[in-house]
Amino acid sequence: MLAKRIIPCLDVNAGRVVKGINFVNLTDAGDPVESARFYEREGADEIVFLDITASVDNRSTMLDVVRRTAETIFLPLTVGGGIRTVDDMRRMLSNGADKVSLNTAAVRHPGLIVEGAKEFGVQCIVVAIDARRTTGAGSETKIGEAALVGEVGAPEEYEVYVNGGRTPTGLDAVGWAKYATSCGAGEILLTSIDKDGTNSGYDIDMLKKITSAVNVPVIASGGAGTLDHFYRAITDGNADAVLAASVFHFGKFKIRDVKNYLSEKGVSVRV
Amino acid sequence: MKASKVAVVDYRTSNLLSIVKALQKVGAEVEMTQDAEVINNADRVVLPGVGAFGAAMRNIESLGLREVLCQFGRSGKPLIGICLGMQLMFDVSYEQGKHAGLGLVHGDVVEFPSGSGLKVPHMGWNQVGFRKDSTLFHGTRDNDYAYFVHSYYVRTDDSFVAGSTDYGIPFPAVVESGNIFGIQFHPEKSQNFGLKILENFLRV
Repeated sequence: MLAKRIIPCLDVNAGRVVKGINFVNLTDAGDPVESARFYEREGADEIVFLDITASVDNRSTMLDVVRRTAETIFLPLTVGGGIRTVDDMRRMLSNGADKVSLNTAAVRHPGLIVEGAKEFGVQCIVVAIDARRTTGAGSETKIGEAALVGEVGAPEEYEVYVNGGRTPTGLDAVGWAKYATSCGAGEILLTSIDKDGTNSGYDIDMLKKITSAVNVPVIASGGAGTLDHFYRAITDGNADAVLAASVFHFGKFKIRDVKNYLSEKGVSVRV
Repeated sequence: MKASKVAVVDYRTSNLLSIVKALQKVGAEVEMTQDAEVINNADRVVLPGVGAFGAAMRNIESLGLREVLCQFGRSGKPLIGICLGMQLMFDVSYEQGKHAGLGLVHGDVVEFPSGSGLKVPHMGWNQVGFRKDSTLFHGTRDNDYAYFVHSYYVRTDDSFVAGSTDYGIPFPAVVESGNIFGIQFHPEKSQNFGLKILENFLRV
């Protein structure tokens, strides 16, 4: 059976891991390559690097990180953050990434998804959606995506945010997931901004709505705090994969713990 | 043991970094090549591949490599196709039209049935069940997990199927026909299981 995937996410700034793994005796806990290798040994099914480097000058640093990682670990590698053009995608993929994750750039220019899928195949294109429950205040369109609102719809329950979750878009999260998939997204990485960092569990309701709306794998992100949270995202939320950062980095659980828990509950995982 | 000279065929459709690194890790001396001479002189050939069948065959033909690969296949030296590379070794594919493959193994390539409720592409870790006692499986575990990314699968005679995977329907994950091998998953992304299979390929 196809296994549910457990994915650690590493934030990388100018070539260094932010909030690095701080419980193991790594020679250099800030080194993304060493952190990725650690998680490979721990049984991760995939590694996600999120490049949070602000300055464009440091883009080549990320390419080097990706290349060095792909040379040493034999797991699928997804890279997101700062990818704005087909050339950006090509550089990441030719340096060893298996998939690229698009977020703000895809909202600004959905054609990028179309072009990327055509060039590299839908399996390479992940669309990352950061969304939060609407307050009911009625969001204005802040980034001038009037045309896209026509395609996607205004937020019903969940609104898409961009720029690292800071900027509301006036777009409905479920509508955007559908639209992005129709453009060629092969996977959705769905982060709940409300839940992120709270350790109070994934946003199951949002997850359910997105997983039932699209026919591509959905990775749940934001909120993992207990082993049961992973289980609920998979069984109640129908997530195909679960992503977490801090619970793994801070050593609250090992990836193995999550897999054992899921396996005991009858979920198919790679053990 | 002398390192095996492995030619990885570079026909411009895929990123070869991972497969080259994986082969090196298990002890191969690897050369990426489009050169007929290098392929002819190699001990073993790896035909990788990601992307569309038709485009891949066009590239292989425009590089003049179709007959070179077929000859290598007939030479008795080990040849392995990976993912799309495996599919290319069969007679024909129905991916967006109808395209002739290399015809080294009999069978065709078809899309996963839609409407089965399963997501296509078949992407992620799935189990490979042994169907034959293949050299490629030595030292590995039956029903271990491998990493797959594909929308099409091969239909062939059961006698060629060394390993099988279920995704709504059972399909060949590993095929073997004499000196010719094919792996539908990505051994270079399948951690220890995948590395072991590549290592075994060097010992065939």
